[in-house]
Amino acid sequence: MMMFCHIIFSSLITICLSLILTILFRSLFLRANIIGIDQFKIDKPKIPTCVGISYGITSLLAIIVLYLLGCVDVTIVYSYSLMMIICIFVGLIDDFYDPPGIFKPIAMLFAGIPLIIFKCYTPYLRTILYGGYNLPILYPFMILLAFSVTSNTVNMLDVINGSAVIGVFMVLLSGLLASIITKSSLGVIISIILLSSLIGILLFNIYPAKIFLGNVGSLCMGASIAFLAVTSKIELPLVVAMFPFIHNSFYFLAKVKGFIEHKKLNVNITFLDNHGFIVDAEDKRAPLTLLRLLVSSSPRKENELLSDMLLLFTVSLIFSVITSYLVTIRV
Amino acid sequence: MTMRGVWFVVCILVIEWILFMLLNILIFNFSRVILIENRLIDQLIKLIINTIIGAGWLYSWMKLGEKFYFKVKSKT
Repeated sequence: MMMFCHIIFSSLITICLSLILTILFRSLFLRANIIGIDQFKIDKPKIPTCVGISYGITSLLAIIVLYLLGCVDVTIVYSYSLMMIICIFVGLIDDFYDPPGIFKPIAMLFAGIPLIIFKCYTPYLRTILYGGYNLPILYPFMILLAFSVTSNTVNMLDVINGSAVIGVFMVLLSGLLASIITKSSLGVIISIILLSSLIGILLFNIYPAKIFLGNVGSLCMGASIAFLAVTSKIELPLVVAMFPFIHNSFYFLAKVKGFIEHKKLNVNITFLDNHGFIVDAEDKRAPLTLLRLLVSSSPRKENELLSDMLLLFTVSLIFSVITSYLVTIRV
Repeated sequence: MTMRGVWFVVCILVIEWILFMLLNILIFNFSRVILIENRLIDQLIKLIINTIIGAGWLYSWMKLGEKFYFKVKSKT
């Protein structure tokens, strides 16, 4: 009961902190002219970008609050703090210095190192129906890969207002349900705190966006999903919950055959017509991204596309819950 | 009336999830038959098997998406 009160208390603090920091960074970046242009609006408004940094800072402070209340171990605090510092550092470099496309996948491998150093993992990969694999040697390498993949895949779906945040919210919700089903108390605590940290960003980034996440925001969000999956032993359910992210990134990488930024790709995937509809550019050289598939049958408005993405993540959430049940069953 | 793009993606997700679950069962049983100890070589074999089957799964995902896309385009 005491633990439950602590979690509710820290969750409320986190929501307040998330809102305050998001508003603070929004006005700060607006004043410092750190802005991006909203490409899918007819009037092309200028929106403060990189505000996603508030998610990283909020979740970091929230984990410290949890430790002070005795809900998590000190190794979790150390590993999460170091991981988030690496993510913020990599994200800011990517936002301000525009390094080559290969930089993010390589640099984000390092975000998994704190988990390995502080041994916040069990080298056992749980699978459905039969138990799992014991991988004492390979598991640490898989952690590094997981951090790079999840953070970059979230980054790649940040294409319309709120798409990445809605996706991460639904994945974290899947994480919460999976943790309840698999009886992982640490998973429940971390999911609630990460969901609370997302509230401020969610309210401001959803259509019509008043802030942009920047690479820093999407990388922090992706890395936190990997952290939740590894520490809570819910890898498989979270892979299923991330299906729409995987779909988008895989089609992009398969077509482009390399790590190239969207903006450096010299082809049009989609464009905005004069009536505010997003239209498939029908360029054969362009990758078949999730957005392109969604507008393939008819042009759609940005808010309609966000609803479509929410539907896809809801379907993945249902599959993730079924997968979690199958993970707990032994035949 | 043409089917909305989102329903095609939902169909792809359903098919790929079922495939993913079946492959998980297949990989586990296959690994259990050929591997006994937790040595590096055993883990590497597991990794290679997983990678090959995983790549096949992703390839099926790609082909399915392309098929759906061109089907939609031929109707519109």
